[in-house]
Amino acid sequence: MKAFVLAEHSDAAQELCAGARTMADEVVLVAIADMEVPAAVADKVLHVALPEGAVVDDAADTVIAAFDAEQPGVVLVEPTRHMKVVAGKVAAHAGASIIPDVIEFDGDVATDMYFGGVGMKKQKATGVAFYGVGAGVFAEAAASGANATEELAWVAPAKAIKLVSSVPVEKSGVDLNKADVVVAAGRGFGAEEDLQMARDLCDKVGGGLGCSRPLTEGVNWLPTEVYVGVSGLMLSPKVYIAAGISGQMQHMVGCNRATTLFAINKDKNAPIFKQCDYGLVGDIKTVLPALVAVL
Amino acid sequence: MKIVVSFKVVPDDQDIQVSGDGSLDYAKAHQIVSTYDLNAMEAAAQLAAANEGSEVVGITVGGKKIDDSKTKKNVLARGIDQLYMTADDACADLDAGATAAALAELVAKVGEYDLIICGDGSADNYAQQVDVQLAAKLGLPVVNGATKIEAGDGVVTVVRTLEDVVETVEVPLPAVVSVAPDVALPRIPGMKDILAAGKKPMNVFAAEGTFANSIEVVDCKAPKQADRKLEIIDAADDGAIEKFAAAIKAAL
Amino acid sequence: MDFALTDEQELLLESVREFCDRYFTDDVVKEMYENGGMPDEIAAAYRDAGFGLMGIPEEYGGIPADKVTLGLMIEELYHSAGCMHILYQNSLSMFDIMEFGTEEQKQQAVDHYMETGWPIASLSISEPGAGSDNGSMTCVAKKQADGTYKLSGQKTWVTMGEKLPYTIVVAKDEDPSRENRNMSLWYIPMDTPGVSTASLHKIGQQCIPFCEVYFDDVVVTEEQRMGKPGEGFMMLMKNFEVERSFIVAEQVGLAQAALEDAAKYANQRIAFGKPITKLQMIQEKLCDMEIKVQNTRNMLYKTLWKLDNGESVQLDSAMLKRYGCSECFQVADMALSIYAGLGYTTEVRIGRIWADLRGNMFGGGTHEVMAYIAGRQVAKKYAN
Repeated sequence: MKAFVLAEHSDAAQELCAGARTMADEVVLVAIADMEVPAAVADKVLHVALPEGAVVDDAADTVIAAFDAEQPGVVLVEPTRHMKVVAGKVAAHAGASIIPDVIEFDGDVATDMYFGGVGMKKQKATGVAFYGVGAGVFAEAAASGANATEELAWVAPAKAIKLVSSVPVEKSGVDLNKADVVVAAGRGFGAEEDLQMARDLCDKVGGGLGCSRPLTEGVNWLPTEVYVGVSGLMLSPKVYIAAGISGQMQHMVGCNRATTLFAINKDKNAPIFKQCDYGLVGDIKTVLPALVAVL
Repeated sequence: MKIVVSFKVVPDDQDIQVSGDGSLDYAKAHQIVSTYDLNAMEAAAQLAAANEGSEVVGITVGGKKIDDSKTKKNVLARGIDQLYMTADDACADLDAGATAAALAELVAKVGEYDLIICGDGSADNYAQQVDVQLAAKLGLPVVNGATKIEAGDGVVTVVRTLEDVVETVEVPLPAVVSVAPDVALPRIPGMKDILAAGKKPMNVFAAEGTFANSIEVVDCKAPKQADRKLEIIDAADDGAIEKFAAAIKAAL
Repeated sequence: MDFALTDEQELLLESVREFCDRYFTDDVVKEMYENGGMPDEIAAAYRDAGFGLMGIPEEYGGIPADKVTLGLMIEELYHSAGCMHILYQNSLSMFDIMEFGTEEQKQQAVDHYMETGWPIASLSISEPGAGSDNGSMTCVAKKQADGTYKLSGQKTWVTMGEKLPYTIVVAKDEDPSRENRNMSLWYIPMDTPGVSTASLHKIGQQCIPFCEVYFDDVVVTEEQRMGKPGEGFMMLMKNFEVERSFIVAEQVGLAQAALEDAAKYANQRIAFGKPITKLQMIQEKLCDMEIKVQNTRNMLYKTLWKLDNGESVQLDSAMLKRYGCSECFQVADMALSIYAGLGYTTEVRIGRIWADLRGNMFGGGTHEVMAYIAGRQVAKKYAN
């Protein structure tokens, strides 16, 4: 069987190609625009050059042509907004639907979350399988291949979208997906300046700073990209320290695969104390500085 | 302009019970509009308000029980002018592709339109795919992640907040645009809106076609809790901070 | 009999819950009690959602609503917010203006409300020497040679008196003596010369500040009179009956919140190796709390239903206020018992709710005066 990998970032391409290798004999990576193709990850690399003023999404027709030519049995997709459009159009063309945000595979049965983690849904594709797969799922797999590169001929969409401008989003620097240690701040932080205490703890433990939803939505104290939980980051670090986070399921699904989970909250009845390895009952305002002092 | 906004009716996840065997029980869950679809409705209503003479049509497909008077009034109290609904058990539990096919059948009944707005993702599957699949079925251009929509001459200018970049794009109409939750804060319907809702057109249909899923659900159960040590200490106790710090150091 | 709510009522309650969840966050509520007020943002959002216009006549931009629906809305406003905020009490002075005010006063009140989200006027009724015993009132307005009036006296427990730009004062016409039952309502800007205030500090309901208001030979004109001369108190009395019912709606909402908190806590709190809900003493408490809340609620909606159907509720509203306010306070008191020491701290909200509910046992007429009003009527009812 042949596998297609649709990715926008090099590290995702690397991991998905490694995963594809566990599922298929032949791995074909589709690289759109100027993605840096990782070395030796796929048997074939199909490159799509974007014409001036085109959006990544409009590469879909080109990818559909390649899909028809190559006829893969499985398609692995990096779950970014661009890739969701490209892959979604390919899936529609194939009469398929994507199984999104898969967190675990068992043969051809893929597990993803239902109602943000209330349930775990195990699903199977009846035709060509399309899987959206986030970081970490194939962390153990190894990629290989000669990367024989082919340039695809641009197939123009019937109604093109015009790119007016593209402005890079300022990044916080740390990629929490790769961090071994994550400190996450929640509603227990009453003021933006209190976040410094969480940053101090990050410095001590060499961790990245994440947060629960209330700190990115509405107050904008932290960028959306560091939000952990449903529709945000799904992490599996070695150490996760949740500070001032009550432990609502919408957040916990993003961190409950951590090896060791620490929680600090002033409410001893907070649900997080039923889901952590070590819990400390106390106000973050006094506890965090004390903790930083002894670490 | 005529704006169609698509939404999904789902059980309220707050009321979903987990049975002894881990299966999910929806018996006590009342049905609500999927949370992020409220933001889509608000975006549609605001876009209509910004363009005089606009109309907003709400569309949804689902099982027979979504044809519920309170659900319909709830939608129509949120700046939506009329409702088109396919309420048929043939439309229950569809995957993205099948949902899009059912929506496409319904959209044909709405007639001419300029723009279809979708929410960020549904509360249940959160596949973020119905927008793309619907656009593919209707042969329309599509963009997602919209945090701002402005109408122009035969186009909409959309600001998309993506993972690495903020893109501004011009999309020729008719088109499908799905919005990020940040696009608009849903209104709180007042009694005036609620009373007016009951008088707005509600067009309810049975399904004409059949809609086959391409994804088979093998199993759906509540997740098992990971085994955690559950060592909880009070910060006020002697040596509590030191103990906690030692545990962190050991785990690093 | 139909106890089912209409779609519209259910949707209204959903909106109220959405509103409270969005605006009455724990931090905001804490600040409201510490600073004695409510953010303007909430008043504006309440106006925007149209809740504050419910029951105001349509010609002034209001939304028609029956009393049962208003009661449901108020109950949910307090249940979901979990605090004794000012929002509903705001409407009471608006109702008085709409009923008794001149065309100009009504329009001004609505314009002010639409602009700020706050009502235009407080109500100055009680006096240090005359609460429920209104005959002892000494505040008086005397006609002067130039046709104006001079108003003198002191009012107390004036809710929001220092925040709102106007106050509606009830004062005796000409003669302050006990025998004189003729009173009028006067609509007075707080910045009128001779009007001054002094804050009072509450032990509960701190986010609804009240104060004393002093009137020192305040000159008022005939145009400032609301309604007919001599009938001021009769006019207020009529609205007291509705006000009492709505106070109970607040009370039920908060008692329900206390009950939910206590039951949730009792399910989690482990003592003697098991959740305390397994203990019969706690079960009895929870059962009695539920009975008290349900009984009060039934009595409340029956009274409001009678009001909507034009029946007299003079007896019902007094009994409701007496029974409901104290039963609901007892619910909070029992909730406090379930929480025990923890409930007596500021870590949880139950102590605050307890103090809030105690206040409604005299606000709007004391527990004892309600028995006085109702008792005479019951005696009369069964006289033959």
